[in-house]
Amino acid sequence: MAEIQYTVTPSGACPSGEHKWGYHLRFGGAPGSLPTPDFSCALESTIPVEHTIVLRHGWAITSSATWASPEVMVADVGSLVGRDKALLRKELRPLLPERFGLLVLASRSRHSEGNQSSLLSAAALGLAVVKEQLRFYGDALNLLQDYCNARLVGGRKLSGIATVRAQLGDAHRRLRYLEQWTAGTIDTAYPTPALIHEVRILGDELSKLGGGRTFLSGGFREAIAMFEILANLYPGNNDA
Amino acid sequence: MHSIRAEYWDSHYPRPLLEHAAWLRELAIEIDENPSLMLSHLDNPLIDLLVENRPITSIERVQMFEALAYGDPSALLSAPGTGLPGVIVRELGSPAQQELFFNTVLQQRARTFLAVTEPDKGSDAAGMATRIDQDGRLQGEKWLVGHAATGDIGVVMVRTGSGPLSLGGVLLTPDILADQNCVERHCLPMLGLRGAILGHISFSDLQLGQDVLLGGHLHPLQRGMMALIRTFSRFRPSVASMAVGLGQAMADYGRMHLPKAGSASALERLESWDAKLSAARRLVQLAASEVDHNPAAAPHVPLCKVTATQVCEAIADELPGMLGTGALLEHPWLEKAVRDARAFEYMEGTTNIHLDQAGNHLAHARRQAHQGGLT
Repeated sequence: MAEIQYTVTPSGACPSGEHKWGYHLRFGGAPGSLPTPDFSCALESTIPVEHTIVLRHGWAITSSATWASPEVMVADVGSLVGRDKALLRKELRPLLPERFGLLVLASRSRHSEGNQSSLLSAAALGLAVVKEQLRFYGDALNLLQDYCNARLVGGRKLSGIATVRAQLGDAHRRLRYLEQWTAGTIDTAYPTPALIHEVRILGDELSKLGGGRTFLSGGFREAIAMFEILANLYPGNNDA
Repeated sequence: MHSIRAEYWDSHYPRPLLEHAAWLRELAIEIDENPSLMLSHLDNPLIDLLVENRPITSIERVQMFEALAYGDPSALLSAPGTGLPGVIVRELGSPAQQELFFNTVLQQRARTFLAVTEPDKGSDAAGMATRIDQDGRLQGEKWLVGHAATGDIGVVMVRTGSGPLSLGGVLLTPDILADQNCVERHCLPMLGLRGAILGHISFSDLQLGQDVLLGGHLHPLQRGMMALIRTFSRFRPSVASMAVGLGQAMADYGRMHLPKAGSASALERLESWDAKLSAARRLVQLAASEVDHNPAAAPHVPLCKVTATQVCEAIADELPGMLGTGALLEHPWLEKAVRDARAFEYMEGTTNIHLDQAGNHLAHARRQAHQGGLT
C-alpha cells in the first residue's frame, strides 16, 4: 500500500467536487482518502485453506468474498457445503463490520456446539488483525506528523509545541515496540490481553492527537472500534 | 436484555427520574441507527422537562444529566431542549432575545446548538475566524457542533472585530437559518453518540441585523470571551456527569450479565468500578457547586471532566472482555455503549486542554498562597 503523504493546500482551498466537511475530515489536505485497515484481506490471507471462516462461541466474522464462496469451510471443522451453511446466518448488527467489507455470522445450532474452530485458529486471526491494525497506525502516525508540521496555532507549528511533539514521539515509540512484540508467528507473538491493551493505548493516543474529527465515521476511532470487535472474538478470552 | 433494573437504579438515582431514563434506554439502539427518531416522540413528558425555561443550578443539572445518561446519553442528546445555548442566552441575552429563544424552544420543541469549534482551530477562541464583516454579514464556518444541521435555533460564536475582546454570540433564529443561499448545513457521520447529530454549518454573506448580537446592551468585556468561559464552566460538569452516568450504566450492565460462574476477580473489578464512579461523581458535584458559587473560578471543572471521561473509557475498555468471547456481538447495547463512551474525550474540550487549565489553576493557587504568606 502506497504511503499516504500529507501536502499543504492553501487555506480554504477545498478540492472541487468535495464538500468542505469531507475535506476537513481528511485533515484539510491529505491526498486521496484517510488511511484505513484492510481487515478483510488480513482475515482472508491468514488461514492456509482458502475460503475458511473461524467460528468461535457461535460467532464468526469474515469477508464477504469468503462467505460467498460455494466451497466455504469452518476451520478445524470442515466443509459447510449444503445443509451446514444454512446453520449459520448473517447478522445485520452491528453495522460497523460492513464498512470494512466484513460480515458477522451467528450460529445457535447445537450442531455447532463443540464444533467450532480451535483457539489456535482464532489466535492466528487475532495476530493478523493486530498486525494489520499496527500497519494502519503507521500510516495514521505519518499523517498526523505531517499534519502537525503544517498546522499553525498562534503562528507556530503544532509540531513545535513540546507536549505535541512528545505525544507524537510516544506514539512512535509505542508503535515500534508493538511491531517488535508482534514480529514472528503465533508461536512467538500470541495475541494476549496485555498485547491488545497496548494496541488500544496506542490507538487512543493517535485519536487524541487527531482530535474530534477522528470520532467521525471514516476516522481513526471507527477503525479502532472495529479492531475491538475483532479482538473480542479472535482470540477473545482464550477459553478453549 | 438491556433494560434498567430498578434495584440498581435505586442505589444511585432518585425514583422520579427512572421513568425518563428507562424511556431513553428503550430508544437507545433505534436512535443509534436513526438519530432523528426522537422527532416522533416530542409529546413525551421528558421533552416537556427539557424544553421549558426553568433555570436550574449546576448541581441540579449534573444530577439530572447523570441519571438520564444512565438511561442513554445519545438518546438524551438527540432530544430538543434549551441545553448549552440556553445557558449563554440566559447569560447574555436581552429580555427580548431570551423570550424569543425560550419561546421558540418551548413552542416548536426545538433542537438547539451552540457553534464554537472551527475546522483546524479546534475550540481555540483566540483563533476564531468566523466573523461579522464591516457590512454586517456573517462569514465563516463551524463544525463538530451538535445539531448544527438539525437545530431550529442556535447561537454562533463570532469575531465582531479585530481585537482580542471582539468576540460575541449571535442568535440565529429559524427564519435566518432558512436562508439557503447564505447558510449551508450538513450532518456529519458519527461513530457513536449519534443522537448528538454533529454538523457542519457555513455562512456566506449572511446579512444580520443589530438585534441578533447577544449582549449588545453589555460592555464588550462582559459579552465575549468571559461569557464563553462562564458558559462552558456551567456546562462542562454536565458532560462529565453524562460520562459518569454511562460508566455506571455499563458497570451495572456487567453486573447483570456476568457469566453465572463470575470469577472473584470479575466481582472485585465491578466493585472497583463502583468506587471509581462514586469518586468521580463526587468530584463532578464539587465542580458543579463551585460553578454555582462563581463560574469564573471553578478549578475542579477541568479535573472532573478528565476524570469522568477516563473512568468511563476504562470501563468501556474492560467490560467486553469480562463478559466473554464475542460479547460485543452478543450484546448490541454494549457494542453501542462502548462506541458512545469514546465521545466524551472530544466534548467541551479535550483532555489536553483541561489538564493545561488544571495546571494553570494550580500555579495560580500557589501564587496566591505565597502572596498570602502561606507555605
